[in-house]
Amino acid sequence: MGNYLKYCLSLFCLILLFSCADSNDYSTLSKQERINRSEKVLKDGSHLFQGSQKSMTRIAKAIEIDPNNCDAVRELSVAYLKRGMPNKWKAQIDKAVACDPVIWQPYRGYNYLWFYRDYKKAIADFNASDTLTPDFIDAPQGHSVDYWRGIAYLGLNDYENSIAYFSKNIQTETEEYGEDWVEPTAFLYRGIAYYENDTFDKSLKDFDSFIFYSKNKTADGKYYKALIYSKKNKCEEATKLLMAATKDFKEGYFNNRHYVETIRQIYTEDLNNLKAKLEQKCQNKPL
Amino acid sequence: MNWKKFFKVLGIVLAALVIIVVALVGYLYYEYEGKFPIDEEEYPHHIGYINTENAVLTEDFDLCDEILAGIHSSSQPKIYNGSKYAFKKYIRDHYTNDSYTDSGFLVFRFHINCKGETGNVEINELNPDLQPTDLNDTMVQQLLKLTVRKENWQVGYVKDQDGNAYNHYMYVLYKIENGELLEILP
Repeated sequence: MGNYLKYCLSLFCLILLFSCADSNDYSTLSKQERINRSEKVLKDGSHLFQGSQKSMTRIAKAIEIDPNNCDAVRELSVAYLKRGMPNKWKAQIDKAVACDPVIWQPYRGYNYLWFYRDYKKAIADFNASDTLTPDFIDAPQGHSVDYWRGIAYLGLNDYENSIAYFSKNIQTETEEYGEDWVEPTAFLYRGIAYYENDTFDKSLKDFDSFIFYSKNKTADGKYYKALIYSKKNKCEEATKLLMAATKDFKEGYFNNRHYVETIRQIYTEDLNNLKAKLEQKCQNKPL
Repeated sequence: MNWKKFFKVLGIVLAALVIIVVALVGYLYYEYEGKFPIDEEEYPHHIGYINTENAVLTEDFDLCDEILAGIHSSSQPKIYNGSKYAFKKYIRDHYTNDSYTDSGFLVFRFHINCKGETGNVEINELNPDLQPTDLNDTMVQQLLKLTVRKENWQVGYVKDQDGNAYNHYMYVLYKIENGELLEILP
């Protein structure tokens, strides 16, 4: 009987050990302790399903512990962004920008650009980053704000500004790291801007660069080249390029993004429309 | 051999092993899931949940007894029947700007069940600054009708082990300026 009591006491102690919960009173913690605790809460739950009740509660808890944990403030906005709830996203991302504008203002611009196609607000946020970090070109989501501005101006059909920002981006990257470090779609998008401006020679050069850096696997580069050759009434070249573009497209080599359609995304229908146009235009010309 | 003692020791060892395994599983569950509380008041549902009390087209619409896909990763582009090009073309070809002067964003969040039927549509009308507003009702109803058309959507490209098509969560966002459709997303 004595042994059983000992066992029960041991089990009770074990249960007590695992029953310890974090206190909700953070007033006794130092500033650094709150920062550390907040980061730990955020990191510990990073595996939770994004936007789930548990995930959202744990992010909110991290903010409660340290209201200056701007990563957590931003993180709370992401599920709203991805699930098509713009007003909820806006309320939260604005708090993140207020918390740390250097990091999150250009990032908000990136979201305006892709998820809402609000090019003007996107450009305003990218421009603000120039003021916030005058000696540094910010790169939200891995690309320079000049690259993002080039896309935003392309969305506004402002081809001059689009070309100017892509050129700045390409030149800066080339001088610092070499041309092969340039994001290949910078050539694609600048090529499209040149194409829209009827500057076909420069456009073709950019599409060639894009095709080269895409290891010759890109429906977009070949499709746009085919469009130019079609305009130049060069039926044979246009048709060959279109066939190659169609092959690449079927193999999955086309410009696209997760979550949202990309700008100037091409589809099978675009390829078929050009094919029909070429067949009509080139009826009496050798293919 | 003292079988009684042998079985006693064996029983204690097995019981200890069971306790250790249960404790380990419990500990792992606690670390991975259990220790994370839920603020039911602030987050009564996951983000993206559609409350049918605030939705339209809920009558005669039921989700199948299957998984709801498209919550974490967007259902686009495969959810569009044919392609997004076809969806955009259908909307643009059939939408009429009947002298509307509205600008802003119109968002439909809705379900597509395993049969490809649409319903449970929550409508969000926003001004250009993404704040709630009241857009022209006729315009909203016109775009709602065009959007939820069954032929726009396809299901069955993701299935469970028994070959049953999933339900899907989807949203469509229209960026509008003076009644014109500038963008159709995602």
